[in-house]
Amino acid sequence: MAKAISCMVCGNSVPVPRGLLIHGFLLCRACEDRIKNISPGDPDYGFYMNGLKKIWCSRGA
Amino acid sequence: MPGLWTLAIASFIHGLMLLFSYIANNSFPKPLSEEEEVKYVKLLMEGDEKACEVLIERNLRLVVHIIKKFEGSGEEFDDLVSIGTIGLIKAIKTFNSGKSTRLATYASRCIENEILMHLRSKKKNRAELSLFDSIGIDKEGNEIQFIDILGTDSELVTEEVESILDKEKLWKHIKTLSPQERKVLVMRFGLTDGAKRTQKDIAKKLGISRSYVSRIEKRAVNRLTERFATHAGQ
Repeated sequence: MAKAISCMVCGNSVPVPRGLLIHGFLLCRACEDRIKNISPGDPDYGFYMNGLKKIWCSRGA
Repeated sequence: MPGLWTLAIASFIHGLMLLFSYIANNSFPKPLSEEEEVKYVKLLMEGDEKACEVLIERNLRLVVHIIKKFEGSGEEFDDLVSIGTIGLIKAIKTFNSGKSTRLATYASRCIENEILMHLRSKKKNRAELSLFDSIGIDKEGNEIQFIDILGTDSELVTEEVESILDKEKLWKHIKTLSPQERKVLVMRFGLTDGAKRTQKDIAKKLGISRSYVSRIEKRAVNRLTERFATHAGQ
């Protein structure tokens, strides 16, 4: 059974195969699909932008 | 203001130094060789999720390389890398190997485009002011919003001003008509008291026939129309 970890953006727990693992952080399928179609200026843009910062702020990861 | 700029520049440089030391320590994997890229792109086209992850991770350094171009944009460093990452994810997810462009070239364009779109969007929003923006607090400590200090709806103010200007123009031109034409128009359209009278009423009041009133009215309206057309824009 796949281990469940939280999505780095929305925080929902998802089994690992259901999404992308980027540098040890999971991006769930729902957030991945939203990011694919989101444009700067969208009210949710900042939410996804801040969520992805974890990849870059994980010096010890 | 100069203090804010200094802080923003210091924050950017600090972030950049952190990131460069991060990359120098090989925390992010090295970019793919051309052969590796071909291999993983082929797998990506077959729907391999692992290949997608590898292509994103191995192009993260490309994001840093691209954002160096936007150092003077006034954006926070961590915002720029994150926006660049969104551009990178979009690039990997929409890449079409059928076209002759290399993935790295396509991804560079997508990353740069994402940042440019973000900067344009911010510039556009800067000129906008919400009626619900806070403009301070009152003596009792309650927040005052922009809408609170507007006495009248701005559209109503504009309409009122235009209406006054139109009336002024109308009276200016009416004064150039003959006294009889002026009397007929004033009574017919209730220009002084708001009471509009019928041609029959006016005829009785002036001691002339209704058809004559009709002709005077028609002539006066035509003259006014001509004068408005001649003096349009004044």
